[in-house]
Amino acid sequence: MTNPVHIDTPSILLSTHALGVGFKERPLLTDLSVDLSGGEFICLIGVNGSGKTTLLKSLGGLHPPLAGRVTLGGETVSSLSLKALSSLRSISLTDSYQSANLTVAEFISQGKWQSFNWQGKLPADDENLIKEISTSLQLTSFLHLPIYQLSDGERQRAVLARALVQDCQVILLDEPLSHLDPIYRHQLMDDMRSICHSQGKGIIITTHDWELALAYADTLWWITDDQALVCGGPEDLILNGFISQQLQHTPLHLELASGKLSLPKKLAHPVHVQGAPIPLFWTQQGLRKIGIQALHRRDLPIRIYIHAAEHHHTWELHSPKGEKSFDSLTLLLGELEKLLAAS
Amino acid sequence: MPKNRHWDWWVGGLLLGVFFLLELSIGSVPISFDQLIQLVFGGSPAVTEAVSNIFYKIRLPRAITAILAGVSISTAGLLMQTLFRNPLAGPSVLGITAGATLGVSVVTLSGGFISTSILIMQVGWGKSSLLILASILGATAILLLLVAISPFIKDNLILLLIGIMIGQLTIAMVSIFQYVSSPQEIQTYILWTLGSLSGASRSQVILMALTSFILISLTYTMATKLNIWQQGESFAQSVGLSPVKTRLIVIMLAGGLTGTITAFCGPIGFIGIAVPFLARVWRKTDDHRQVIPATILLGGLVMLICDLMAQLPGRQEVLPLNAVTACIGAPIVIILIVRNRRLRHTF
Repeated sequence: MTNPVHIDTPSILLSTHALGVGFKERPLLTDLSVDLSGGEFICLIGVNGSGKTTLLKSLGGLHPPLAGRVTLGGETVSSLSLKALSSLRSISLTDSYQSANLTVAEFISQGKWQSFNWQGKLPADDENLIKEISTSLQLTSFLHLPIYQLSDGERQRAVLARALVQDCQVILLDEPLSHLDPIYRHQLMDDMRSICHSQGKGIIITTHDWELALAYADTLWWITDDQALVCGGPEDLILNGFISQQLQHTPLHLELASGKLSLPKKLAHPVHVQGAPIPLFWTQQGLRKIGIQALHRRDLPIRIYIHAAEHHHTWELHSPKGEKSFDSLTLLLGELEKLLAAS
Repeated sequence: MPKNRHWDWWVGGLLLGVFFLLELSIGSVPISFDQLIQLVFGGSPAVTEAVSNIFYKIRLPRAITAILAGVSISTAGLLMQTLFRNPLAGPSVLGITAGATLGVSVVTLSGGFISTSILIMQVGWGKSSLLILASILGATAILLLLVAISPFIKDNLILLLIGIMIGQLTIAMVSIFQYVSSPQEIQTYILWTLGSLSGASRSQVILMALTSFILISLTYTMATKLNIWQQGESFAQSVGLSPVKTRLIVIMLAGGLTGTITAFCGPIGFIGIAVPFLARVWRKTDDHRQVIPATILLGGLVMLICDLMAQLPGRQEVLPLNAVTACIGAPIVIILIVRNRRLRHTF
């Protein structure tokens, strides 16, 4: 593989110099001067149409910049041939997959096509690299299957594997998390982090999963509403209020205590809820969904007491209509909705 | 990697050999297997002068032409299907066949043939050589046009449209020529459009063989690149394959193959669409390292079978080649499409 880069002296792999991105009729971003260092995992975030993919393409030399330039490994991207670029960066876009009657192994090995000999065989080093990457992305059991038999999520991993097989220092991925279920999302984010850190590579991904980006990225590149690119560690951007500010004009709200995004709901009908912390939290969540505000005020007409045993909870509902006990939160919520409809 | 089955390559090769021998032996004057051996290895009085002439001057060039035409047209079709990522693409989509057709119509129709042939006959050329020259000129003109504009084309679809436009233009011009032509002239033209494997002389067969061999070898060296290309332009660019260069090379290869065969055999339909398709079904993969050799083998085989069918009535006349290729090919392809749902994953 590649030489590890010391974390204390990160080398700059990619940088932009007064870069302008977009289309002549629709400039998206202007005057960008940002860097990607070895060992850095960057998540590029912005709402739809903000220019994430176009920026990624411009960084990878697949879309001409409107102004300025991108340097990759010390060279200006626009002056490099596609072939020279392909050894410096791998880039995977959302349209990089076309259906084909190929096995997953054949599909992944295309990332290394320039090393094929005339018989279509790869040198042993490359075969090992492919094996290593397929193992780390848990693709080994699919290698002999035709690619079209894979599910969207599995195929997403195969596309990622193909990009990794190209074995470049800079890896640019457009929406690698799409179609993946939460298990693979977390795993993939963690994998990409460790690839960066252990091998000194730099990865930039675009994603719509803001919570995961906050949790895993070294650096966020956040495209704001007024088309500026703000860079910073996710924690810093949360603590200095930047992200809350970005969400100001959206219905979303960032819960600073958990890093979770939520849609604040106007809650009415306060009820009293009492119980152990965890069942209390989930009861509050359930009540929120039906628009009920959970408070700690014993004088309220409706009161809920949670009795917890291990994995078994009962809810005691005290209302003007009397007392009733429930085995599940679902039943309780149903009853409450009936109560509210009646009043 | 899937297991590369070897035995069915041998079966395919064997079938090709068998049909080649049948092609040599069947005809208005049957040549027995014994005679064939004696003709090749020589030295027996059992073979008459007449049979020897039929063999060397008619049968052998025809059989070799059949194989070359099948192989080249099929390979050109495969290249086009991969270039456009479209199973309906064939050798004719670029307009090269149309160019050849136009060339031929210029000399055969509207009195062109009479005036030009008088001119050419003075130089001592025959009618078939004139047709060949005309179609080479027509095909080359379109090929050069495509090569010249292809670096400026950013989109496959535009290339496809240009091919279709050239085709339409040809049809229009040919119909104008036909309108002002005499029935005899139209007949000469129509005979050419039906396709024929018997037009080429020995030296022309050698020329055809050389061109086809070179172009097909070059095509095989493109196998990995074609695999990458098949994965879409965005991926091709990301791994360093230049779309402009690849498109240009594919156009030149397919154009050269189509132009050569069309010049000597006329526009051969259907095989170019059907055979690459059969090859993908046979190999059960889209990997061009397998699909190209399979297309070559099947191309030769299918063309031999079609030509044998064309001669089957056992009379002096031979059925028009293009009618036979479509009559045999279309049902096979329909059956395979219905039975192989896997194929829709290709495109």
